[in-house]
Amino acid sequence: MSRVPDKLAVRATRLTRLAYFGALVAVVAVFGPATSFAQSRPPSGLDVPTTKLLAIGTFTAKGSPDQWKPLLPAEVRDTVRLYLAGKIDQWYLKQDQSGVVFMMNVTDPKEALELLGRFPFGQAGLMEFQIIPLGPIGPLRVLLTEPAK
Amino acid sequence: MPDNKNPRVHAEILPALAAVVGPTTKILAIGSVTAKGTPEAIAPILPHEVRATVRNYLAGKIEQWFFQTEGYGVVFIVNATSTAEAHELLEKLPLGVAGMMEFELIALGPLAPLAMLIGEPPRS
Repeated sequence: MSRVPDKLAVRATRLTRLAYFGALVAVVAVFGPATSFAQSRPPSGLDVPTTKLLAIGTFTAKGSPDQWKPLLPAEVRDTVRLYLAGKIDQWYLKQDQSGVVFMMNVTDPKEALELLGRFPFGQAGLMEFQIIPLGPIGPLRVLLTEPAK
Repeated sequence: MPDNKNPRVHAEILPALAAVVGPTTKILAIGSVTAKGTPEAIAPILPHEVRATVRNYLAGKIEQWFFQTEGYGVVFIVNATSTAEAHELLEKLPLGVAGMMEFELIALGPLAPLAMLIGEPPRS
């Protein structure tokens, strides 16, 4: 019998906390930038979830053509398999011949590095990936502060 | 031109990747906020930056746009065929003009080695 009121009480407390937190965020957003945000972090109003990872693959010093050429057919097949699994969303070759660029449907950098590390080039230490977590273009939010036209 | 009907022999006949340049079809633009770009410096410019970016999207120049969720910056995939073309486009954005954002530009093309799967070495 007492569970429902308890739940309501908990919810009310949560709402109060949420409101308090919201007010705090608003205050920080107004007064904070000059003091409380490190330069490398965006203001909190621009926070967005990670939805994709950009993976930039670059040949290592070991990755000379005579090393990677024999592995290329297997590398291509593994890449296509990862695409078919829905993990690689887009794939490109870097025109300076230094490697590849993948847009991945993965949000955990560790998972991406693990998946890409299983490829023949990765196993042989011929290619390394730099991962950049991406999300929706947060600043678009500023357009919402004006009335619809 | 070797006769290459058998896909299994491609490892031997495929030229080094240096010889298989396809066309440049996109430019990857990784934009990072510079030391000048403090949050309070950026705030008044941001609405203009967003509008200029949306205009570039509507013009078909910026094909995809993302925010970096770690660090502070953006990633665009630009419909341009050279880094010079993309540079000209992006340097005109307000944050670029103000020296608050810098772009690293990487020219991209089709994943040429995929040609191996259809029994042809990639062509230049």
